[in-house]
Formats: sequence, C-alpha cells, structure tokens
Amino acid sequence: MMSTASANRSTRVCIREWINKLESNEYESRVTSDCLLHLIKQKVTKDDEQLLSALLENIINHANHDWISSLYSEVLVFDLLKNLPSEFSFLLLMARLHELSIGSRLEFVVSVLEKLFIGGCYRSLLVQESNVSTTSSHLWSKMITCIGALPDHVANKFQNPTKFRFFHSETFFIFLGVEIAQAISTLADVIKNGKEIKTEFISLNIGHFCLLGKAEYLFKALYPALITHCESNFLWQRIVQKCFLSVPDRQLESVLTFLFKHAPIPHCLPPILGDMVTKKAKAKYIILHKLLLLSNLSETTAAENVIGYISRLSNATFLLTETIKKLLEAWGNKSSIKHTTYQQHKYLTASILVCVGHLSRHTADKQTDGLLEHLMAGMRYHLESPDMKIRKLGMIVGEKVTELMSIPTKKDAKLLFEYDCDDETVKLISLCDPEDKPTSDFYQSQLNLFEKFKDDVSFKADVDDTTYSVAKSSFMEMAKAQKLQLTTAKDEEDNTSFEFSRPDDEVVDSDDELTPYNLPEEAAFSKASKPMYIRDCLEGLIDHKNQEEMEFCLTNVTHLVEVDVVAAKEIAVELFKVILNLQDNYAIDNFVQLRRSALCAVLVCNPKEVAEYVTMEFYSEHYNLQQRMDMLDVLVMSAGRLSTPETDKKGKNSEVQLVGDVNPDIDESSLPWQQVVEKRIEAKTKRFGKPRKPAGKSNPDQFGPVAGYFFYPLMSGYDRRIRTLDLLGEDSIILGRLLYALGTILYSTANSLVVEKMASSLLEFVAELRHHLESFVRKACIYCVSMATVSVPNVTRLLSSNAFDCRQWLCDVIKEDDDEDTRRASANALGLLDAKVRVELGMQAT
Amino acid sequence: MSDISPEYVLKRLGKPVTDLNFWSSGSTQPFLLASYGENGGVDLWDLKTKRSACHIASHAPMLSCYGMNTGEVITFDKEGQLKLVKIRGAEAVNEVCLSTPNAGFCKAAVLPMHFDSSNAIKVAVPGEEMSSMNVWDLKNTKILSRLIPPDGFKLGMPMCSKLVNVHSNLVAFIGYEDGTMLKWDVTNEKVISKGERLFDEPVMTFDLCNDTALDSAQFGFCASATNELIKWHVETNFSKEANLNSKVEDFQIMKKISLLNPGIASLKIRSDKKIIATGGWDYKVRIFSFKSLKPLAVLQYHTGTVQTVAFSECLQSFGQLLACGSNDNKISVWKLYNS
Repeated sequence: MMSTASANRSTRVCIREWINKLESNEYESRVTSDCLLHLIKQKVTKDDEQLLSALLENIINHANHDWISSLYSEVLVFDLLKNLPSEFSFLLLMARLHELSIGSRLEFVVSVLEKLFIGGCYRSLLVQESNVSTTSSHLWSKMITCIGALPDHVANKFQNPTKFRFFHSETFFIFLGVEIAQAISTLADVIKNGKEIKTEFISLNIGHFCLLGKAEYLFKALYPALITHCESNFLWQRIVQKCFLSVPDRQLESVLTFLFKHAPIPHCLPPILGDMVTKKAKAKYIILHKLLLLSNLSETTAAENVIGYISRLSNATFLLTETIKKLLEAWGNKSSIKHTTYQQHKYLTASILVCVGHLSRHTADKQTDGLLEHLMAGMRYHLESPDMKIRKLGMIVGEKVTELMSIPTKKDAKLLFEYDCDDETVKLISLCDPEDKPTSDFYQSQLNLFEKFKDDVSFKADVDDTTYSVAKSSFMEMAKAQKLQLTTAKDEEDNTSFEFSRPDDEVVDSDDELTPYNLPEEAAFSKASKPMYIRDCLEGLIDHKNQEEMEFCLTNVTHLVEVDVVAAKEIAVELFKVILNLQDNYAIDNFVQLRRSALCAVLVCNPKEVAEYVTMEFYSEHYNLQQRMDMLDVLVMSAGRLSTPETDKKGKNSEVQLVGDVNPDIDESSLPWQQVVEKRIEAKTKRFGKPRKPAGKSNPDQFGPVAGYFFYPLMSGYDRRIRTLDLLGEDSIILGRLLYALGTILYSTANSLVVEKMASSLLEFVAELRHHLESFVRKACIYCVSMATVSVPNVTRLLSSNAFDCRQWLCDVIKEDDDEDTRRASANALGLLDAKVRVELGMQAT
Repeated sequence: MSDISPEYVLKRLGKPVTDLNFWSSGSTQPFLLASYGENGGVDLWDLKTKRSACHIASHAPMLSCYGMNTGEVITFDKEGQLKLVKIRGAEAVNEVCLSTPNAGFCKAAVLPMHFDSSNAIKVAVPGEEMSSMNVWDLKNTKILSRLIPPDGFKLGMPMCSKLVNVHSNLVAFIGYEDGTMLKWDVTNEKVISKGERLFDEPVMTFDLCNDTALDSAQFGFCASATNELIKWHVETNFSKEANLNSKVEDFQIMKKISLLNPGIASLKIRSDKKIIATGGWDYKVRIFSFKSLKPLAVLQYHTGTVQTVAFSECLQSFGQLLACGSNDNKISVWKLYNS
C-alpha cells in the first residue's frame, strides 16, 4: 500500500518536473520527445490523469512546430495514450479538437484520434464499460455525444472533404458498427468464462447514433453480423437482445424503425430482438402501431418484417389477431379511405394481407370473430369508391380475409371478384404467402457482407487497392473489347449461313409457275347471315336468338345506319332503346365497345330526338349505373363526332369531279360559246404571282344547333333522388362522370354561338357541386372550369361575374384540398385561366 | 391476278348437290353427272345446252354417281341401293340393282375402266360389319372381297374410299371415321399399311394419283373435319413372286397446312397434276398448287357447304372445267388455269 502510494507520488512529481522543464526549454523538440518517452515507461494511475492531461494539453498547444509536424510525434503520443484508459484519451483529444483552430496542431490531434480508433480503443472502451462493476456515469453520455459528433466536428473544422477520410460520416459509423460487433464478440467470450456483463453502454451507443440519423451506416456492417451470429450463437442472442431491450425509450423508435425497414428477411428479427414487443410497452407501441398504422412508407418490407417478426413469437396468434383487427379497423374507416393517400392505403392493405398469410399458417385456434364486422363495412366503402384502384384493394382484401375465416358456405364456394391482374395486384396477392426459412447460404452471404465492410474500413492497403482496381478495370475493358469482336465475328458467320439456307425455299416456290389469284383476307367462318337492312337488324337485336346473330347485328348496326340514314332516322329512338337495354348474354368479345359505337352511330344520325330521349332516360328509374355511364359516354362521343367537320369525305368527292372538269378530251364544240371563249382567254392570259387557291369548303356546323338537347336536360335532375340513383349521395361516381361529360360536350360546342350561354350555366352548375366530399367530383368540377375556359371565345366577358369566384375557389383547392391530384389539377386549371385572360388583355405571357 | 367468277351455274330447284362427275362416254358429248340429296335423283347436265339431258329418278337421297366409259352410270343412295343404269338418249334403264347394308356417308368407289382390263365393273361400298367394306363385281352381282379390319382396329365407319390398280393388283384406299387411312390389298383382303391416325377427326375426303416417277407409288391429298390438309406419298411394293408377301408401307406425310376454318367436305386433284380443289364447310372452294400446297385461289360463290368438286378432262371447246356442288342447291362451273 505504501509502496504504490509512494510510486504515485513519484509519478506526480515526475510529471510536474517535466511540465516545468518543458516550459523552461520552450518545448524544444528533443525535450518533448524525451518527456514522452519517459512517461510511456511510467505507470500512470487515475489520480495522475489530471496532471497528465495538463501536460499533454501544454505539449499540444505549445510544442515546437517542427516537432508537431514530424512523423514520430504522433507515434509517441499514441503510444502514451493507448496505455491509458480510453475514455481519458478520447475526452482529452476531443476537448483539444474543440478548442484548436485549423492548423498543424489540429491535424496532429485528429490523426492521433484516428490512430486510436483504428488501434481498437473504441472497442476496448465498449468492453471496459460493460464490466458489471462499472456504474453508469455522467461521462458516458458526454463521451457518446462526443464520439457521435466527431465526423461533424472534423468536417466543420477542415472544410475539406479530401482530408481524413476516416472521419467521413459513412466510413466512421460503419467502422463503429464493426467495432461494436467485435466488442460483442469479445463480451460473448467473457460470458463464456463465467463472468457477467452489462449492456447499457452499448445500448446507449447504438441508441444515440441511431437518434443522430446514422443508423443506416451504423448497421451497414453491424446488421449482417447480428443476423449471422444471433442465428447460430446463443450467447450473442442473449447479449444482443439485452442490448436492444435496454435502449432508452426516446431512442428506441429510430433504432426499431431502421431494423424493421431494412431487415432482409423477417426470420432474422426474432433472434435479435427477442420478445421485446411483449416486454416493453414502448416497443409494442412503435412496432405494432406506429410502423403499421402511422408511418407513410412506399415499400411493404417494413410491414412484412413486423408481421413476420410477431408471427414467430410465442404468443403469435394472439398478437396477429389483435393486429389484424386493428388494421382492418383502420382499413375500413370511411374517412381514412377518402383522406389518406393511395400509397398509405396500399401499405395498410399489404399489412393486412401479410397478416392473413401468417394467420393461415397458425391453423389452430383462429380467433376471427370480430373480423367479419370490420371487413364488411370496409369492403363496402371500398367498393363504393369511384377510384378503381381503391376498389381493387377492397376486392383483394375481401377475397383473402374471407378465405382465412373460412366462413361455412357451400362446398368450395369462395368469395371471388373479377379484377385485372397487373403487377401491383400480383405483388399484393403474393404477400399472402410467407417466405420460407432462409438457407445457410443466406447467413453465409450476410457474413461475407460483414467481412467486406470490415475490410473496407480497415484503412491499410489503400494504395495497393487502387492500383489493383485500376489494373483490373483496364483489363476488364480490354477483355470486353476482345469479347465484343469475337461475338461480332460469330454473328456475321451466322448471318451468312442463314442466307445460304434461304434460297432453297425459294427454289421450291419458284417451281410453282402458277400465279395466285387475289386471295381474300381469311376470316373466321360463321353460318349466320349478315342483316342487310336496318330494320332486319333491329328485329335481330330484339329477338337475339343466338350469339352469332346478335353479334352480327351489333357489329353491323353502325355500318347500316351510315348506309341508310333516312331509314335509320325513322327508327333511331327505338333502335337506341333496344341497343341500350341489350344484355351481354353471350359474352361477346368487345361487347361494351360494340354497343357504345352502335349507340353512337344511332345518336349521330338523328341527334335531336335521340338526345332528347337519352337525356330524359338518364334520370329515369330503370337503369343500372353501367347503363347510365354508357349514356354519358355515348352523348360525349356523339357530340365529338358531330362537332368534327366532315372535310375528308367531301374533299375526295370534289377532287374526283375536278378531274372530270379538266378532261382535255371534251369536244369544244359541245360547250356553250361563253365557256369556249373564257377558256381561250384563260389560255392566253399570263398571270404574275401565284394563283389564289380556292378556300376549303366549309360545312354547316352540325352540333351547334342540337347542342342544347345534349346539354341542358342533363343538368336538370341531378338533385332529384330516385330509387336507383342518388347523385348527391352514394352515386358520386355517376355525378363525377356527369360533370366530365358536360365539360366535354361544352368543349364540342366551342366555336358555335351557343357556347357562351352553355359555359356560364355550366359554371353555375359547378358552383353548387364544387365542395363535394369526394375528390373525384371535385376534380370533375375543375375539369369543367378548364373546359369552360378553353371553349369560350372570350373569358373576360364570360367570367366577369364568375371569374373571381372560380379563381378564388381554384386557389383554395390548391391551398387546402386533401387530395394531391386534385391540387395539381387545380393548379393546371388556374394556369390555363390566367394564361387565357392574359392573352385576351393583350399581355405577353410570362 | 384479278378476281374470278363462275362461268355458269346449274340448278335443280330445292335439291342439295351431293356428288359431281364429268362424263364423256365414247362419242357422246360431255355431260356433267350430278346426284342430289333428298329425292333429287341424278341429272345428266348437257354442257352445251346447259340443260338436263336425262334424269334418273330416285326415292332416296343419292350419295354418289359415276359414269362408265361403256355408257352406264353407277348410282348409290343412302338406302344402300347400288344401281347400274344404262342411258339411252333421255331414257334411263336399270340394268343391275342390288341392296347393300349399312350405307352411311361413304360414296361408292368405282375402279376406273382404264385401270382394268378384265371388263368387270368393280365397286367398293360399305359392308355388313362396322368398318368393313365390300368390293363387288357389279355385272355379276357378286362380292369379290370383304375388307374387314383385323381385331384391334377401332376405326368407326368408312368415310371415303378409292380403288386403284397397282401392278395389276387391286388396291383400296379407305379413310375412316377415327381419322385413320388404310391401304388394302383387295385380293388378299389384307391391310398393307400401318394404319396411323392422320387426323383427330374423321377423314372426310381424299384423292390420289400415280407418281409418274415411280410406278408403284401414289401421291394423295386428304382432309378431315379438322382444319388440316395433308399431302402424302405412299409406295406399294408387291413382290413379283408371291402376292401374299406384300410389304407393309406407310403414308409419308410430305406437307401439311392448316386453314383458318375447319372442315373440308370434298377434294379433287386435276388430271394434269397442277392444282387441287377443296370444297369446305365454310362455303368456299379453295385451289392449291399440287406441288407445294400454295393457296392459289378462293372461289367465293356458294352459300352452303361445298359437298363435292370435280375436274373435267381437257374437253374440246370447253377446256378444263371445275364443277362445284353445294348444299345451297347450286352447281357452279369454273374455268381456271387453262394454259
């Protein structure tokens, strides 16, 4: 006891002496080196630390410039510090780092720090602080904060990204990850030897770095190491699980979020996290609530991992059932369907599907009682949505969840919907099949990944590495070029051989001296005869005895109507009625399109009467939604067709006549004398300049006069509620389509006289509907405003009353609408409106 | 080349045409023999006057008709009546009339005179048993051979047949309901082909002609209720010493083409071996080149299944004609590829 005390005293005295000596020699290089060399040999204890730090501080601050920049100075200081407790060295150097300004002294400090890290000081710090005898000190948080802030400090001080690559955020944290992994490995050995450890310090480190947002780098190497070792090593499992369990609550979220988002497979999570979700309320809240219900993620990996994780815990069924109930509740919430983004909703759907997939594995004891209630309500809201994508989500979930519940129905009867399978649906449905257990290859690859990162941050063979990589890349390039040549040569050979083989065939063909007649195009044969008259067609459609006949009639209606307009006009309304009520009993290909084009042809041949009929029927009772939508489509299509001038056909005819006119063979004597004289004058007259081309012939506007029949009656009954149609209520999809139709019809009347009146009444109509709850309808309103803007010749006059109103509304939508698409559409419409006004006022567009 | 239309159209009211054959016996002017379904009988259409020169009445629907060089016509109807009718001007006299069982769809196959020196009229018609065919000597009303498939063959009804002489051995080609084509040594009542199925559906029709390069071989075309058309080649080697040891040969498929619409009801090879004609269930007559089966023309006139097609020899002042008979009661006559 006495001897150690005296030794301590002597060390202290010795340090003091050195301080004085250095000061008196003005920190001359040789003296400084001597001092350090001497101190390295000395045994320094905790009590001397303060004095020693003062000494080192002095050296760093005042040492000779030459000495500081010499190579051995770093080595000397490093050798001294590495024998001292790591926390002391770190704190000392980091304090220097803060105070010094840029210069060789600062560089000196940083390179010593780098040496310390690479020399494994951080690792030994971790191991040392995990000793069961240490108590958490206030120094911990200070040190962790300092370490975490190192990259930022270095970067801020030097402002030079080429310096100290070790302290680049990415490299540094990957390095820390590697060090943590190695520390855990050491700790595992410690436990093996029968000693106990504490994991709080490591937890704090991990938690703090994640909170800083460096989880991505920290786990880059650490995660693969955890995955591999926790799978195979029980000690690792114990340590790691304890580590994550003792991460403080406020840091837990950033840790868990990263782990769940980036786990390569759900299987690796239970060994790492253990049953944390049941032990810690905060963890449960983050994993089962925040990650599933509150986060806005585009990738479904997190959901898969969360549910994959809980499905492998001991009380999985309970947790899964609880989760799926919660999910379904959120999923089926009417307002959330309307007000959350599609992305978010898809994520929710994906979570449910994964849940279903895992629950169906746990066959025994399915507690699916409450599910049906939520599912039914949710499905209803989904199927009502005007958005096809939302409806599809509803259908998929409906199918899968009912399958899970295996509601007792008829034998093998399943709830099945019809929807198009695109990539997205296939992906969603595939979520129901949980992944298999990974093979040993997977763990091997994870281990390799860890080793790779470990090598990357080891900073040893930098130069060699680059020379090697340059050589390699240039070799690769050369090889590539050679290969390319080889393949091209081969290709050419192939080509020639192909050409050789070809003539043989031709020889056979040329042997056939018979020339073929014009071969008609092959068409599938059918016994039914084509209807020749429009009335036959009508009868055929009314009887529709068999599929072929109906198909023929339906395909030929369009043609027949065009051929015999007069006859078609007479029976147009009746024909329209019959076709509109036609059911697709025979599953004819393209039935919808055929019917629509037939309806359109009929409407075009007698627009006034048929349009009157359709618009009246639109608000009558005995139609389903599809038929009403068909009516709107047909009205729009016909309006478009009527308003397009038919220049093509007539142009051709007149050309043919022209050729006849200038036929040179006409005998002059047969013409009246005036023409003969005119012709001769024309032939002898010389004209300078170009002859004027005759202006294109104009056709009377076909749509203008009848536009009213298409337009006004459609607006008349929207607020009337009938048994099968409730436009202002649940049939908002029809309302939206109606608005789109009105907008398009208005656009078709552009250039006619009625357009202004129609536009202003449309805007008034829109004014009543534009605060509709459904974004589909609001978007349709915006569409109408845009159409009104483009169609009318003079916006400033038309909109003088409505202008401010409309503009204001568009601005409001941009500002506060829930739906992103709607906001975008509104911005476009606003731009359109402003541009047009600017043009009309004679301003330059900006 | 531009589109084509029929030279003329012949029609007996209300009777679907079942079989057509050109017939020029000796010095008489060329006739077109036409048999009808229902109770239409047989007409001898005079190709000059375009009128029926003679009508053979019948109570039963006719299956086939064939004109012999000797001035007789052989008719076969659905009730199994096989008749040899002598034509004297506008008068038809029954010379032989015999009843055969089991008449189905199969037309009577007559051995053409120029194949035979024995002066007997040999005709093959369906026999008593399922899948069997009998070869008759019509003049002597006696059965020469019974072609009963050996056990193990499940062939169904015979659908179409042809008789030819190979090295003065009578050979019968028969197409069956299950899609098989068989070649028979008639004298020994023996199958001399392997009997692989060519089609999944019944063989509807076939025609064959001698391979000019090889005496004992034939080219043939056959078609079925499927949409396939097959050209085959078959060799028959009768060893000179003993007829009994004739070798088993098989049909070698040379070319196979698919049409869009299934069902070919009739097929004929023109005698100059340049073209073949098929009549289809899709109401169309198609002309293909003999060598490559290249489609040459589609004759669109009929509005019913084309039950029969027939090529004429090169007729004086007419050229080579093609007659097509259909369920729409019309016989259309065409002139194609007359060099």
